[in-house]
Amino acid sequence: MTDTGSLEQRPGRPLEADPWSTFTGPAVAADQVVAVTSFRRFLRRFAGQPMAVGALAVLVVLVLAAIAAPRIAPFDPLAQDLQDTLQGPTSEHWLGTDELGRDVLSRMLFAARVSLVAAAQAVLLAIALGVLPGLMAGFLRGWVDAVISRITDAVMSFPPLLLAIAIVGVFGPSLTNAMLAVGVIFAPRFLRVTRGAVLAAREETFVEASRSIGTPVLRIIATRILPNILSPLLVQTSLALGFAMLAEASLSFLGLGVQPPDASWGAMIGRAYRFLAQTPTLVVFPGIAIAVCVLAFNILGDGLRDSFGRDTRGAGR
Amino acid sequence: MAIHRSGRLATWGVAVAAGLLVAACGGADTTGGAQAGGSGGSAGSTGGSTAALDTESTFRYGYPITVSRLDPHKASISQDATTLFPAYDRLLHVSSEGELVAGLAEKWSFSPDGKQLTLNLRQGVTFHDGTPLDAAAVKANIDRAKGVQGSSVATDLRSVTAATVVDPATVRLDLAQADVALLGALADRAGIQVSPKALADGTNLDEKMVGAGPYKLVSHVPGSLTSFERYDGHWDATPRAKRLEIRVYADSVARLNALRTGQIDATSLSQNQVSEVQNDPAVKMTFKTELAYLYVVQNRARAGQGDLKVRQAMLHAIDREGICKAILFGYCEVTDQPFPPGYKAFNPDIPKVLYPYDVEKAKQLLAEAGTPSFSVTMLTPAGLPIFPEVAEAIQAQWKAVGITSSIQPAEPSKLGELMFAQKSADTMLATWGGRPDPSITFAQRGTAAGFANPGGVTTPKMEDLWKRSVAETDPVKRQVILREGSKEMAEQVLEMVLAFPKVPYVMSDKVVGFTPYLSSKPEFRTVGLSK
Repeated sequence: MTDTGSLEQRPGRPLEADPWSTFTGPAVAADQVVAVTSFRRFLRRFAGQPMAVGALAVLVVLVLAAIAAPRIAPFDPLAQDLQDTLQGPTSEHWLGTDELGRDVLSRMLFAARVSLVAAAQAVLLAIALGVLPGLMAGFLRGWVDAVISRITDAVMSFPPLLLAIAIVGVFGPSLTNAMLAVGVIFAPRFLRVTRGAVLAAREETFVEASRSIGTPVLRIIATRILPNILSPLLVQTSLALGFAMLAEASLSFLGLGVQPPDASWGAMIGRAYRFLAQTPTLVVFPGIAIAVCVLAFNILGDGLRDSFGRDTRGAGR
Repeated sequence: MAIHRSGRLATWGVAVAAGLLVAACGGADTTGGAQAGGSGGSAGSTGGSTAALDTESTFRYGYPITVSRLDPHKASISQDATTLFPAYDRLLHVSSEGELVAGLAEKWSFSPDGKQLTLNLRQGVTFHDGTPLDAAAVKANIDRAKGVQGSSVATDLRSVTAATVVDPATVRLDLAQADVALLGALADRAGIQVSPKALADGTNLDEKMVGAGPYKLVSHVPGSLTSFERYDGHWDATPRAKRLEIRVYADSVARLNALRTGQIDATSLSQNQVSEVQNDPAVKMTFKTELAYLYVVQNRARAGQGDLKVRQAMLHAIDREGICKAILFGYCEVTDQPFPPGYKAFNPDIPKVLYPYDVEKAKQLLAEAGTPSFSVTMLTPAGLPIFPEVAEAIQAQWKAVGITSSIQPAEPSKLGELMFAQKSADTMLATWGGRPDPSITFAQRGTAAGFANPGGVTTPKMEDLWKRSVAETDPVKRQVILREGSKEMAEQVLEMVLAFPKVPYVMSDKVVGFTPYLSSKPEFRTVGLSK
């Protein structure tokens, strides 16, 4: 195999000398057909998994409820009533009131915003930090791979939650810091998934073909490699969202995440835990919300994994 | 000068941080109103059983905060006393109601001008290593407490200029000025006596405890467990358990579980747990109103808080009774004074609450002060129970009168540094641990030079009352001054007291002789299990 670097820099060959970029023949049309059918195949496979569809529906409802929280919440989530604290579910307060007399249902709707946004922040950061080095490591191999992989190993050798607590300990407790910590912790996982997928993709014949006709490295990565590693990344993203939500809940439970008067589900449990003997429902409802949400992300991830995949591996669905 | 000052600040910071923790500081001093207890639970305050104490038993106590270090002159938080006092006796001791009682000194007296304190030592006392206690030993300890690098008690002894051996049984302390509050300090960590032999031969006092206390150290696992065995050569022959263990559980839920599963014999709880144990026949409970109180520290040089009307408005705006009822489940007492009702320095001649919850009054006062709306930052201890709830309640209540507050949680051990040394916030919600003598609270919170008065703002009258309170040696006359000081603190809102919590102490029905202390630091001199 030829060295990609020397191909690129060969004198007289401009960088954008990818013959396919100017080719407008019927092969491109066929390419589009393939793309459409593969997406349809994905939809068909996904629709065939009721669990995954259900999980997606749950998540859509949760996201919509979080977005509409100011409109649908029955009470102001911060309005206190010290005369009416620690009530169980009543006709007025469907999920009861907390230790400051605030409506639990309203707080949970607003907390959903915090929890979902926080999970998304952490995963986006992890993707931003993990995918590019993963691409470089997988595609360039050699010393670049060695250096990046050793750094990854070092980060992954820390117990995740302990590392997060240490990071928050240094920078102070806040939701942003907690999510930065979780993002940093998840970055190596994205890096490894990306690197593994790239390692497989770069040996494909179409990549070799692109290279042999002198396609620049960046174009190969953008148009040949990336589309082919998207599916494992999507699966990983869905799973990571579940993990990030759980990590956020853990850190907020410990008082290291979201700070009062705002709340996330984890923070609500952290506060309510002390009043378990008086009003157990305070712990139960946010607990159910976290469990359902994390489960939904995981089932969705599994469903995505089963729906992507290759023809050769698919069971013909 | 710079080095000296920063060293002093660091020491103060540590001392103050100590008072911020939940379990708190304290001890009280001299004679006078010992009714501060306000026990609300089972009659009296002694242990669960009236049966005879088994002198072969092992008593295990659950404590929320681990000892910072074992060296008694360097241990940095006042809660360390609970772990230090079993092994180390002090020159003076305190009763459970905060009165000074004889310790290693049997008698003490001030000279007429108050500038000399003479201590008559108890005879026949030996340290755990067999060394006898004499005047030279006391001098060696005072010198070390004042001079050792990293001393956390030097500031308590700052009025002492020299310790002199008069005869083997008598020590004289020369003072720069009259300082009655020194007695309170000598009943606290600053009065701890270490074997002079251990001081001389370089024994590592962070590993060994060589004192004259009722228990000898057996083993110490930081953050977890400190075990003691009874010292049979102790001067006080009151029956007590053969072995004493202090086990650390930060979480009050874990402490209750440990008690219920028999891992410990006694501990303190949070107020919200009271209903859980109230009807449990296996758990005995007693309440104690201690010198520690919940408070909001105001930096009176910031955010317009130098104006009395603003301070009054901020206090009027807080529904303290509501907070007391909802968050402390009613187990607390609300007053504007920095001492609990019944304590000798509490002034009974003015209303208990001068500035009750009154939103309209608060708004009116703010308008009169020309600041109808402003914003403040509020530091709170992160990770400790009750504080998040109280902080959010205050935040909502201040908002109702136009005061916006942003809550800034920080490590409890960093709060003193942030609020008092760096002066980085406008207000702070925390616990004042109480001090061994009321004058120390005045000095810290109410004088311009007080370390715990970050704005330095006070009244000339308060300064004068503090000076007179440490110079007056007659207990009756002094009480009048202390009560005047308490009144001035309340009227001028030099202290924003939220409430004095009643702390629930629980124990198994086998415990004999356990007594909660006004100082909030329980001692185990008469404790054991029944047979």
